[in-house]
Amino acid sequence: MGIGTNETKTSIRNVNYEEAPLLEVRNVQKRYEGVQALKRLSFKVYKGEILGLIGDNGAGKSTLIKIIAGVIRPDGGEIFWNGKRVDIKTVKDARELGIETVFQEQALVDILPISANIFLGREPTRRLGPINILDFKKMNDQSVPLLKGLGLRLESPHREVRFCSGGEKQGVAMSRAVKYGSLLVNLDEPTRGLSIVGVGQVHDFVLKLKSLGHACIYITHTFQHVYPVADRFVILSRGMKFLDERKENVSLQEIEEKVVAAARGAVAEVGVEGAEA
Amino acid sequence: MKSLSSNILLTVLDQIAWILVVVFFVAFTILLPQAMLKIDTLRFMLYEAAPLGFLVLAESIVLITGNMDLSIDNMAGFTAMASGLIFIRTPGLSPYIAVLLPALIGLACGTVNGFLVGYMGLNPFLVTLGTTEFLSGARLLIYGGSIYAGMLSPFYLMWGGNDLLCIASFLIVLVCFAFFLRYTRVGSHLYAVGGSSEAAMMMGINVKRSYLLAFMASGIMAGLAGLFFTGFVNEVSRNLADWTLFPAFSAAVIGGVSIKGGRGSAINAFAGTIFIGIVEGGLTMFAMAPEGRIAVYGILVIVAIFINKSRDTARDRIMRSSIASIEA
Repeated sequence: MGIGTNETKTSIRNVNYEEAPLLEVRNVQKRYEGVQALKRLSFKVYKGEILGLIGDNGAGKSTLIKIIAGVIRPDGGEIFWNGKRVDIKTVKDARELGIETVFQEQALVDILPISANIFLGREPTRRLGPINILDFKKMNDQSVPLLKGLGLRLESPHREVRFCSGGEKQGVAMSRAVKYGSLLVNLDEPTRGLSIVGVGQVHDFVLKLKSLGHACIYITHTFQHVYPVADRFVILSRGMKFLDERKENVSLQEIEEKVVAAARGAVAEVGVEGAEA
Repeated sequence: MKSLSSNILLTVLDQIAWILVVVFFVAFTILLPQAMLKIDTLRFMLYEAAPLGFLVLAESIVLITGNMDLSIDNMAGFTAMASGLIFIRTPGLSPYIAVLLPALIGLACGTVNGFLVGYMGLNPFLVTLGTTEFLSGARLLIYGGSIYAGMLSPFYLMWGGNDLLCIASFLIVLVCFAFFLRYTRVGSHLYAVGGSSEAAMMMGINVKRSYLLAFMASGIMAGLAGLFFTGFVNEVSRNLADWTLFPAFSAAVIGGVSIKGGRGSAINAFAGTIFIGIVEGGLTMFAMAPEGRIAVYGILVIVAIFINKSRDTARDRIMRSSIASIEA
């Protein structure tokens, strides 16, 4: 931890918890072929906050993030964005609100160049007579500073993504969030399979986002990775919330104990807000 | 300048079909100089390749999305038969409208394929195997015999019947097709979907619609092939466009369209088409019997997938070594 250039301990506590939350999820449920992946789950994310969403495999983290990202739809429950009820039907809906998701699989097309991946699905175009054509120059020109801003040393935006390292791939996927100025960035297991250097790169980026006032949901089962950067922690276990605590009220050791307890199946629901609303 | 040499190697690799064109042309010229060096021969080779070229485009666009279309040959045959039938059964039908029928019927057939693959999620190989059998039977069911030139209008026949018009029409369609794939958002999404349908879906690209679109375009191209084959042979025979699937597939793949999806360009597929045209021309000059041709088509498919695999391996090696040399 703390491999990055920013001293993670001094991450400014500028989150205003008195304000309305940026995103509020209320009583969201999702069932997959007989398995209740999410059981009336509720939680909030505030502006400029880094929320560490911790849970073991099968805790429902990925399901939750896919719902927020608009990839899948919940069976029940409500989502509020800036206090307004929203219905996120598609990835496009989520993006229009300002939610960008960096999926575990990073959503990269391996055989396409870096620049094409950054703009995947949102390619800039220019007019050529009566039609709009792809603006390759713009894509290449914007890719380079974007990646540099993340501290990525990639000599060419033409390189196919499959030749990038794990950390570089995360950077490419994350640069989309920077590019589109998203208000909330979901990071799904961003440090999985990364070297120590890669983990540091990811944390630099998360803190950079925070410094720009953007919120972040950092999903991981490696709570040691998220502890230095997060402002608040939510532990998920079997589709339910097991802990929801700000960093000043909880130590790394307490989180570890809770995670272990959750993993052992000692489910004691804590702070399930409005479960019976 | 290691990166320069690797760039040259990569270009050579991507243009391998053009190299094959030259090699085969030279080989045939050495064997039969008096036949090959005539301008008429070259013109005929292009003319012969043009109707097939539409099928190459039909196969290419579906392959780019990571799917496969085995129905294009029978689709061309069916659309030609159905269009001809509508023309002779509809007295007073304007030939200007009749000429649009093959493309429209092809579009309808392609839409069915695209719906079954894209929206029903069925295996493209088996779906198009089913439609090709269906169309092959349906073609003979709707009209028992051949539709001869006298029953059709000269305007309908001239597209494939006049060699220069045939070649020019194909080149115009080719350029539009290449432009669509290379320069439009929708076209670029076909590559993304073929490269990784999951990633494309997560980035908000409509994968189902992309599949549908590719099969629809494929259907239109197969319909145009039907129209141009009709003019080329000057009738709609019972076996029009038979045995064209394998040459079309081979041309697309030798031209650099990946069977795994996500790679390929219309212009290079055209190189593959010319290559097949030269092979066909050579077979004609050696008076190869139809059975022999079919055997050669079979070999060509295997050659095509072998080239596809070797090219992928070589491309990987070159790209890796050039990255390693930059980072060193």
